[in-house]
Amino acid sequence: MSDTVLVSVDEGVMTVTINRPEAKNAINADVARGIAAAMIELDSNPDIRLAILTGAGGMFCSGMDLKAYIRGESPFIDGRGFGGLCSAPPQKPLIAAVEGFALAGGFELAIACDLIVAGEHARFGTPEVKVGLIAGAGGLLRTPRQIPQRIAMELALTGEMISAARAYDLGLVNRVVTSGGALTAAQTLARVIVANGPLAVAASKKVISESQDWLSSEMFSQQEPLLKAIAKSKDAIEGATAFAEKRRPKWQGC
Amino acid sequence: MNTLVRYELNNGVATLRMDDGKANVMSIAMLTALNEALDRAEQEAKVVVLYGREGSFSGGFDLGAFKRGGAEVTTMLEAGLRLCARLVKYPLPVIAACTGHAVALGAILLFACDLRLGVDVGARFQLSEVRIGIVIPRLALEVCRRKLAPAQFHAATTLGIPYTPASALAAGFVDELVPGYAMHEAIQRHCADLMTVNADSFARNKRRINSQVIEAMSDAIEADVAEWKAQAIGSASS
Repeated sequence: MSDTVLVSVDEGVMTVTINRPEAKNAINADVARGIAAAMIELDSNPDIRLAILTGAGGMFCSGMDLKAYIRGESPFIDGRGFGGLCSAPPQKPLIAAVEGFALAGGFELAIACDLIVAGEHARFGTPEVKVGLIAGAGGLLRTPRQIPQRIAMELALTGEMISAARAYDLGLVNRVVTSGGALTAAQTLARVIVANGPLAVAASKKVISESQDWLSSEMFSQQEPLLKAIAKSKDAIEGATAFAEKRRPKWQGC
Repeated sequence: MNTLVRYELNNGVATLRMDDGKANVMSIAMLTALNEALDRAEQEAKVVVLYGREGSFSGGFDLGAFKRGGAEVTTMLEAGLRLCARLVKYPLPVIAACTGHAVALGAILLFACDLRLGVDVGARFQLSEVRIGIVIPRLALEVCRRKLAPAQFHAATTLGIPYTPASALAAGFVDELVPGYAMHEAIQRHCADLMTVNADSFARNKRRINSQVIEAMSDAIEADVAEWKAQAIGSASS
């Protein structure tokens, strides 16, 4: 595999780095394949609990590589969508560590993640309308579910960027840190999550992600199978026992 | 006595971890341990971190000592105030990792540090002296005046109102809020940054910028000590 996407794993946390700083980490077919492969590994490897997505060179991602697109390269992966991620995010948690620009497709990759940590100079936006295109990789679909509608409309129709501070105020971003500190902050956050029960974390993500489509009258019955599976798990017993014994739990993942 | 302040030196950063197992009260023993640690750091470190324990930075003076009375009280008061003065004059940058409650002298210590990071939830900041029958020492007021926001100064001192992390940030008790789990990471980031500042330049700038406070503290401590001595004589004869 080429090195346009670097993947490393440390203590159960995978870091996926888009590595095309000379092209502002723009997504071409190679990058999309690299991210897709990483997401497959994330979900299939029981030793990996969570992944952090970031960009090399102090920049997250400036979107689709237009030159590559014109040459006929597609940044879409069958069944997975733009960047190998946007249409089918992984089961396990994904944290975006954003420095610099998360624009267009880059913005869409970030909001496909579960959590976002940003450097204070990071900027977010979907400028597609400025070139007669639309943010079709989730920028129009996810944004109004994540921030207030009027603001989502403003981002979409103006194509203008917002700051990390504004993104934080809107609840788009979980934490803002000094420039250059986003990856470290994402790793800190990852450690807190990885200390928690693996099944519980995955099930919590699943309920939050899927329940958006559940009717109020059915949401508790929809949740029931997941709840039962967790309640019956060995880890649930271990968690309660460890709490009573005032010690750290030893998770088994079942 | 050593276990009250755990001293660690790592790549030029001296971390002083205060931990008395409870509220980190400023007893004579704690104050002595802190001064010893500061002596060491001054010789061998470039940045100092004053770290609280989980749930508490410092609850202030040892109230047990007040109850017991005697000469011990004045000794403790003077040591506590002189520690604050020392931090204001200290040649190295001092970062406070405010991991929890900062009350009375505990809060005043924060005002004596150069950079203060606080946890974003679960900490109370309060100059509670008026509520527990103590008159804020003059030196303490000079230290508070350094960083306590002018608009909050009277309410914070005269009324002794408690502040949350968010309102404490606005009032100047702390400079930055971080989630508890991220305190270590944030401290490391600031240490790395402050290590790049020339030591001599820092010491001389800090001295000049604080010159008025230093003068005011010098006058204040004399008046404070005289007052405590008079009170002690007064209570001994009554």
